[in-house]
Amino acid sequence: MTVTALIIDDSPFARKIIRHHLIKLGFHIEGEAENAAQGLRLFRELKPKLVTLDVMMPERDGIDSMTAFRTMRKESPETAIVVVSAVPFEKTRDTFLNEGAIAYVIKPFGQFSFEPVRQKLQRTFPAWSA
Amino acid sequence: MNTHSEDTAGVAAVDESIIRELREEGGDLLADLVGMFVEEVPGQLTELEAALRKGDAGATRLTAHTLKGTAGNFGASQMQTLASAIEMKARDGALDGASAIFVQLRTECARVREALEAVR
Repeated sequence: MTVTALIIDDSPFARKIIRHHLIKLGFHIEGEAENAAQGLRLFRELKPKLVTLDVMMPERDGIDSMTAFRTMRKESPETAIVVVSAVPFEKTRDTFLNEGAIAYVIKPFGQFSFEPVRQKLQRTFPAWSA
Repeated sequence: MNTHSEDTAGVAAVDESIIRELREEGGDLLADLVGMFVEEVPGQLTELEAALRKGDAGATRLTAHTLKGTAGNFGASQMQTLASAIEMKARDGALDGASAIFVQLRTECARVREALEAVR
Protein backbone atom coordinates (compact mmCIF):
# COMPACT_ATOMS: atom_id res chain seq x y z
CA MET A 1 0.00 0.00 0.00
CA THR A 2 1.42 3.38 -0.99
CA VAL A 3 0.74 6.13 1.48
CA THR A 4 0.91 9.60 0.00
CA ALA A 5 2.39 12.50 1.92
CA LEU A 6 2.46 16.28 1.75
CA ILE A 7 5.27 18.24 3.42
CA ILE A 8 4.50 21.79 4.59
CA ASP A 9 7.55 23.65 5.88
CA ASP A 10 9.04 27.03 5.04
CA SER A 11 12.60 25.70 5.31
CA PRO A 12 13.86 23.92 2.18
CA PHE A 13 16.42 22.24 4.44
CA ALA A 14 13.73 20.83 6.71
CA ARG A 15 11.66 19.75 3.69
CA LYS A 16 14.62 17.85 2.30
CA ILE A 17 15.31 16.08 5.60
CA ILE A 18 11.64 15.20 6.14
CA ARG A 19 11.39 13.95 2.55
CA HIS A 20 14.42 11.75 3.13
CA HIS A 21 12.93 10.21 6.29
CA LEU A 22 9.47 9.68 4.81
CA ILE A 23 10.81 8.04 1.66
CA LYS A 24 12.94 5.80 3.86
CA LEU A 25 9.76 4.83 5.70
CA GLY A 26 8.11 3.99 2.39
CA PHE A 27 5.93 7.02 1.75
CA HIS A 28 5.32 8.61 -1.62
CA ILE A 29 5.81 12.38 -1.47
CA GLU A 30 2.96 13.93 -3.43
CA GLY A 31 3.90 17.53 -2.85
CA GLU A 32 5.74 20.16 -0.84
CA ALA A 33 4.58 23.59 0.27
CA GLU A 34 6.54 26.46 1.76
CA ASN A 35 3.73 28.12 3.69
CA ALA A 36 0.41 27.20 5.28
CA ALA A 37 -1.75 28.78 2.58
CA GLN A 38 0.04 26.91 -0.21
CA GLY A 39 -0.08 23.79 1.93
CA LEU A 40 -3.83 24.04 2.35
CA ARG A 41 -4.28 24.43 -1.41
CA LEU A 42 -2.15 21.35 -2.10
CA PHE A 43 -3.91 19.43 0.66
CA ARG A 44 -7.26 19.98 -1.07
CA GLU A 45 -5.84 19.19 -4.50
CA LEU A 46 -3.70 16.13 -3.67
CA LYS A 47 -5.71 14.64 -0.81
CA PRO A 48 -2.66 13.08 0.89
CA LYS A 49 -2.99 10.42 3.58
CA LEU A 50 -0.24 12.05 5.63
CA VAL A 51 0.72 15.69 6.17
CA THR A 52 3.76 17.04 7.99
CA LEU A 53 3.10 20.58 9.14
CA ASP A 54 5.67 23.04 10.48
CA VAL A 55 4.32 25.13 13.35
CA MET A 56 6.44 28.25 12.94
CA MET A 57 5.85 29.59 9.45
CA PRO A 58 5.26 33.20 8.53
CA GLU A 59 1.56 33.82 7.89
CA ARG A 60 0.53 34.10 4.24
CA ASP A 61 -2.87 35.17 2.91
CA GLY A 62 -4.11 35.33 6.49
CA ILE A 63 -3.45 31.61 7.03
CA ASP A 64 -1.04 30.39 9.68
CA SER A 65 -0.16 26.84 10.68
CA MET A 66 -2.88 26.50 13.32
CA THR A 67 -5.55 27.71 10.90
CA ALA A 68 -4.34 25.25 8.26
CA PHE A 69 -4.21 22.44 10.83
CA ARG A 70 -7.76 23.03 12.07
CA THR A 71 -9.08 23.36 8.53
CA MET A 72 -7.44 20.10 7.46
CA ARG A 73 -8.75 18.31 10.55
CA LYS A 74 -12.25 19.56 9.79
CA GLU A 75 -12.21 18.80 6.07
CA SER A 76 -10.46 15.44 6.31
CA PRO A 77 -10.31 13.99 9.84
CA GLU A 78 -8.91 10.71 8.49
CA THR A 79 -5.73 12.39 7.23
CA ALA A 80 -2.82 11.83 9.60
CA ILE A 81 -1.03 15.04 10.54
CA VAL A 82 2.46 15.10 12.02
CA VAL A 83 3.31 18.48 13.50
CA VAL A 84 6.94 19.57 13.22
CA SER A 85 8.36 22.30 15.41
CA ALA A 86 11.55 23.92 16.57
CA VAL A 87 9.62 25.01 19.65
CA PRO A 88 9.47 22.38 22.39
CA PHE A 89 6.68 24.18 24.27
CA GLU A 90 4.45 21.71 26.05
CA LYS A 91 1.39 23.89 25.67
CA THR A 92 1.80 24.11 21.89
CA ARG A 93 2.45 20.39 21.65
CA ASP A 94 -0.54 19.53 23.82
CA THR A 95 -2.82 21.80 21.80
CA PHE A 96 -1.96 20.06 18.54
CA LEU A 97 -2.05 16.56 20.03
CA ASN A 98 -5.36 17.22 21.79
CA GLU A 99 -6.81 18.43 18.50
CA GLY A 100 -5.83 15.29 16.64
CA ALA A 101 -2.21 15.48 15.47
CA ILE A 102 -0.75 11.97 15.54
CA ALA A 103 2.74 13.14 16.54
CA TYR A 104 4.77 16.23 17.41
CA VAL A 105 8.37 16.09 16.18
CA ILE A 106 11.01 18.53 17.42
CA LYS A 107 13.64 20.03 15.12
CA PRO A 108 16.50 19.60 14.53
CA PHE A 109 15.80 16.09 13.36
CA GLY A 110 17.91 13.29 14.74
CA GLN A 111 18.36 9.73 13.66
CA PHE A 112 15.44 8.61 15.80
CA SER A 113 13.13 11.62 15.41
CA PHE A 114 10.79 9.73 13.13
CA GLU A 115 10.78 6.44 15.02
CA PRO A 116 7.74 7.31 17.18
CA VAL A 117 6.07 8.59 14.02
CA ARG A 118 6.74 5.31 12.26
CA GLN A 119 5.18 3.38 15.12
CA LYS A 120 2.09 5.58 15.15
CA LEU A 121 1.78 5.40 11.39
CA GLN A 122 1.86 1.63 11.54
CA ARG A 123 -1.18 1.80 13.76
CA THR A 124 -2.81 4.44 11.58
CA PHE A 125 -2.12 2.64 8.30
CA PRO A 126 -1.99 -1.09 9.13
CA ALA A 127 -1.99 -2.07 5.45
CA TRP A 128 1.02 0.18 4.82
CA SER A 129 3.20 -1.57 7.36
CA ALA A 130 2.02 -5.08 6.51
CA MET B 1 38.56 16.97 8.41
CA ASN B 2 37.81 19.67 10.93
CA THR B 3 34.45 19.55 12.65
CA HIS B 4 35.79 21.40 15.66
CA SER B 5 35.67 24.91 14.28
CA GLU B 6 35.25 27.12 17.30
CA ASP B 7 35.39 30.85 17.83
CA THR B 8 37.00 32.60 20.75
CA ALA B 9 33.89 32.03 22.85
CA GLY B 10 34.34 28.30 22.32
CA VAL B 11 30.98 27.78 20.63
CA ALA B 12 31.12 25.21 17.85
CA ALA B 13 29.87 26.53 14.50
CA VAL B 14 27.74 23.41 13.99
CA ASP B 15 26.59 20.57 16.22
CA GLU B 16 28.80 17.60 15.49
CA SER B 17 26.21 15.08 16.65
CA ILE B 18 23.65 16.46 14.21
CA ILE B 19 26.20 16.43 11.38
CA ARG B 20 27.11 12.85 12.25
CA GLU B 21 23.47 11.77 12.19
CA LEU B 22 22.89 13.49 8.86
CA ARG B 23 25.91 11.71 7.44
CA GLU B 24 24.73 8.37 8.83
CA GLU B 25 21.44 8.83 7.02
CA GLY B 26 23.47 8.00 3.94
CA GLY B 27 22.87 8.88 0.32
CA ASP B 28 23.70 12.44 -0.57
CA LEU B 29 21.64 14.00 2.20
CA LEU B 30 24.44 15.82 4.01
CA ALA B 31 26.21 16.84 0.80
CA ASP B 32 22.94 18.13 -0.64
CA LEU B 33 22.14 20.12 2.51
CA VAL B 34 25.62 21.65 2.54
CA GLY B 35 25.24 22.48 -1.14
CA MET B 36 21.93 24.20 -0.40
CA PHE B 37 23.57 26.21 2.38
CA VAL B 38 26.39 27.34 0.11
CA GLU B 39 23.94 28.23 -2.64
CA GLU B 40 21.16 29.91 -0.69
CA VAL B 41 22.58 31.63 2.37
CA PRO B 42 24.63 34.32 0.58
CA GLY B 43 21.50 35.50 -1.26
CA GLN B 44 19.50 35.49 1.95
CA LEU B 45 22.16 37.61 3.66
CA THR B 46 22.02 40.06 0.75
CA GLU B 47 18.22 40.22 1.09
CA LEU B 48 18.48 40.75 4.83
CA GLU B 49 21.03 43.51 4.45
CA ALA B 50 18.82 45.26 1.88
CA ALA B 51 15.77 44.92 4.11
CA LEU B 52 17.65 46.40 7.05
CA ARG B 53 18.95 49.26 4.92
CA LYS B 54 15.38 50.06 3.86
CA GLY B 55 14.07 49.71 7.40
CA ASP B 56 11.63 47.08 6.13
CA ALA B 57 10.68 45.23 9.31
CA GLY B 58 8.46 42.71 7.50
CA ALA B 59 11.13 41.59 5.04
CA THR B 60 13.75 41.65 7.80
CA ARG B 61 11.65 39.38 9.99
CA LEU B 62 10.93 36.95 7.16
CA THR B 63 14.54 36.60 6.01
CA ALA B 64 15.92 36.40 9.54
CA HIS B 65 13.35 33.68 10.28
CA THR B 66 14.54 31.73 7.24
CA LEU B 67 18.18 31.98 8.31
CA LYS B 68 17.25 30.94 11.84
CA GLY B 69 15.52 27.85 10.45
CA THR B 70 18.47 27.01 8.22
CA ALA B 71 20.83 27.23 11.20
CA GLY B 72 18.63 24.95 13.28
CA ASN B 73 18.96 22.08 10.86
CA PHE B 74 22.72 21.98 11.42
CA GLY B 75 22.71 22.83 15.10
CA ALA B 76 24.45 26.10 14.21
CA SER B 77 23.52 27.62 17.55
CA GLN B 78 25.37 30.93 17.31
CA MET B 79 24.00 31.62 13.81
CA GLN B 80 20.54 30.69 15.08
CA THR B 81 20.83 33.02 18.09
CA LEU B 82 21.94 35.98 15.97
CA ALA B 83 19.24 35.43 13.32
CA SER B 84 16.66 35.05 16.07
CA ALA B 85 17.78 38.32 17.69
CA ILE B 86 17.24 40.17 14.40
CA GLU B 87 13.89 38.44 13.89
CA MET B 88 12.71 39.53 17.34
CA LYS B 89 13.80 43.11 16.78
CA ALA B 90 11.91 43.15 13.49
CA ARG B 91 8.84 41.63 15.10
CA ASP B 92 8.90 44.42 17.68
CA GLY B 93 9.42 46.97 14.90
CA ALA B 94 12.63 48.13 16.58
CA LEU B 95 15.47 47.67 14.12
CA ASP B 96 17.90 49.79 16.15
CA GLY B 97 21.05 47.78 16.64
CA ALA B 98 19.97 45.13 14.14
CA SER B 99 22.64 46.18 11.65
CA ALA B 100 25.35 45.52 14.21
CA ILE B 101 23.92 42.06 14.84
CA PHE B 102 23.76 41.52 11.08
CA VAL B 103 27.51 42.07 10.81
CA GLN B 104 28.04 39.35 13.42
CA LEU B 105 25.55 37.10 11.65
CA ARG B 106 27.34 37.44 8.32
CA THR B 107 30.65 36.52 9.97
CA GLU B 108 29.02 33.57 11.72
CA CYS B 109 27.44 32.32 8.49
CA ALA B 110 30.91 32.27 6.92
CA ARG B 111 32.17 30.24 9.88
CA VAL B 112 29.27 27.78 9.56
CA ARG B 113 29.87 27.48 5.83
CA GLU B 114 33.52 26.70 6.45
CA ALA B 115 32.61 24.03 9.01
CA LEU B 116 30.04 22.49 6.68
CA GLU B 117 32.35 22.43 3.68
CA ALA B 118 34.88 20.61 5.85
CA VAL B 119 32.43 17.81 6.63
CA ARG B 120 30.77 17.54 3.23
